[in-house]
Amino acid sequence: MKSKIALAFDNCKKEKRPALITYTVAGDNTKNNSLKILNKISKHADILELGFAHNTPIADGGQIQGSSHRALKNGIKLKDVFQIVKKFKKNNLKKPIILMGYFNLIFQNGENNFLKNCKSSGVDGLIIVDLPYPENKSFANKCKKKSINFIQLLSPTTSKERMKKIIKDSHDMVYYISMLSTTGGKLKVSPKKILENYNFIKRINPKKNYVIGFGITDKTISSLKSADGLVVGSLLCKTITNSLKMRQNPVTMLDKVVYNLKKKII
Amino acid sequence: MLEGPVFDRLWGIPGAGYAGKMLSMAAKKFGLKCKIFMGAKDIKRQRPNVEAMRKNGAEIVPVTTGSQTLVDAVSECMRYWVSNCDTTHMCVGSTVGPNIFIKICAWSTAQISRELMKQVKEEFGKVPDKLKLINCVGGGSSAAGFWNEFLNTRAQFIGVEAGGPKKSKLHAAPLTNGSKIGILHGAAQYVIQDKEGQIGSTESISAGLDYPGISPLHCFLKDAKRARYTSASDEEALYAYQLVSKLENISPSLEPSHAFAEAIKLAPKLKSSEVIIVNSCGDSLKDKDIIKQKLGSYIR
Repeated sequence: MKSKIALAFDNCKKEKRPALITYTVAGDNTKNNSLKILNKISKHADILELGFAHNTPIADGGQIQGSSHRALKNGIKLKDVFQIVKKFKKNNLKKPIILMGYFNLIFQNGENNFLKNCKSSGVDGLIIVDLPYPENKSFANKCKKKSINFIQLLSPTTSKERMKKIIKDSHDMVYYISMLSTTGGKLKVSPKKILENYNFIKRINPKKNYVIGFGITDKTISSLKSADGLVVGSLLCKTITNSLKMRQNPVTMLDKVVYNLKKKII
Repeated sequence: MLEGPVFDRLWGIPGAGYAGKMLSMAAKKFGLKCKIFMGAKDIKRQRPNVEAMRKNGAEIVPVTTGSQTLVDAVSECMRYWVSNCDTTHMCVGSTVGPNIFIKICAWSTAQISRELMKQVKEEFGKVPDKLKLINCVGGGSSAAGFWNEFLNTRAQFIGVEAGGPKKSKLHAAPLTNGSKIGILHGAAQYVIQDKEGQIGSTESISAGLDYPGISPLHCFLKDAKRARYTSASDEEALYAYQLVSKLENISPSLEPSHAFAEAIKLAPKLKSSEVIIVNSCGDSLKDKDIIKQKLGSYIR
């Protein structure tokens, strides 16, 4: 049986457009609002990434650090994250959700226990930023057995030889980090160069779904739309920050931003 | 896919600033740009080292996130490095972080134990049967270097962590207080954390020891029972600093003062045939502001 993530990519391919993948942090700016946000933006987004906050986020730039900080200040715990997913899935069974975060939380929760919770709440995939290949092999296998996608990461510094190995062991979706940067950096490489790298990777195994993330905003998204999928995260976190500053409702603000992003890749 | 990188920059992270001082000197010598990441709190409390780094032409980047100490500086330096690793080397001033950084640091600091081995043999003719090597442990770089050549001898290793202020629940002693294994800065280690896995806050009078994790090297030495770990409180370290400065011709910084505190506790219980060596791995001058604040005056 095909995974919900694979089906989402199939649908987008039929519509000849990339999948729009959003990233927001669970509990930002409140537990309730983050659920409302997911409900709203799922109308435009094809796959939803939901961050579980860690207080030492070494791969994240300022925007996502800010969101994580707000979520932790609200007392967000893993059990709340699973609750949010569960409530979301009640009305949006088919929409894939990917949890994204750092390995220590999974390690303390217990790998098996964590995956059990993923399964029962309806999580479709995982991106674990600080669990690289090949150290992630055993955990990725556990995920596979539970039909949860473990999403491998590739970057501009990954060698061709290593890429081949990583892709061979990957599941339905592979994440290409567009440039040398933390999340939310300014796109310092031309979209042309990013797509060159992307196409090189795509040729290694054309059957997999590759998404590009890091530095993608409403200004750059349309220039990358030949990819299988595009991830936007920091822009959304920034939108929440700004809407709080301007005393606007972050839910409606995000809805607008994601709608706008979608329009640019159709 | 990548063109050959040109490395023309060195970026580093010291806690107390000693490694940063060395790095800034190396950068100056070889004509490299040098950025040093330091917690804003540490920049304030380690002013003399910061001034020395600036004199060598290094740029000091204050890190204002989190506790504004070493843990946040390491995170921030790693972020900068992943963004600039095509032109920049990262130098970690402690035996923490991913595997290779631990090896580079421990190999470098091991020079001190190569020299110590020579001196011990000159003094005693051989490695004494009952020898204790006492060293403070924050990230663990100086202890790893101090003990390295003695791993295959019968020398006892004692690592002294920062116990924090006497009445505080906060400390920086994950090995002494039985913290669980977790993942921090790309390595599994015993680390101060809550049940969820969020990294815990620490408190210590000594900037160089104020880190929630500990080198995986030391975690291994603890598990293998090759080294023993204990802690000294801020007050004990301050007392040791005063006593050693008064009686000896040296003035240890607050990091090795933790090790001296343990030596002071142990020495009365030992026979005269037993030998203690304490690594006085820093000079008190860098801590003059803290010492002045705590004791009212700084005399060297």
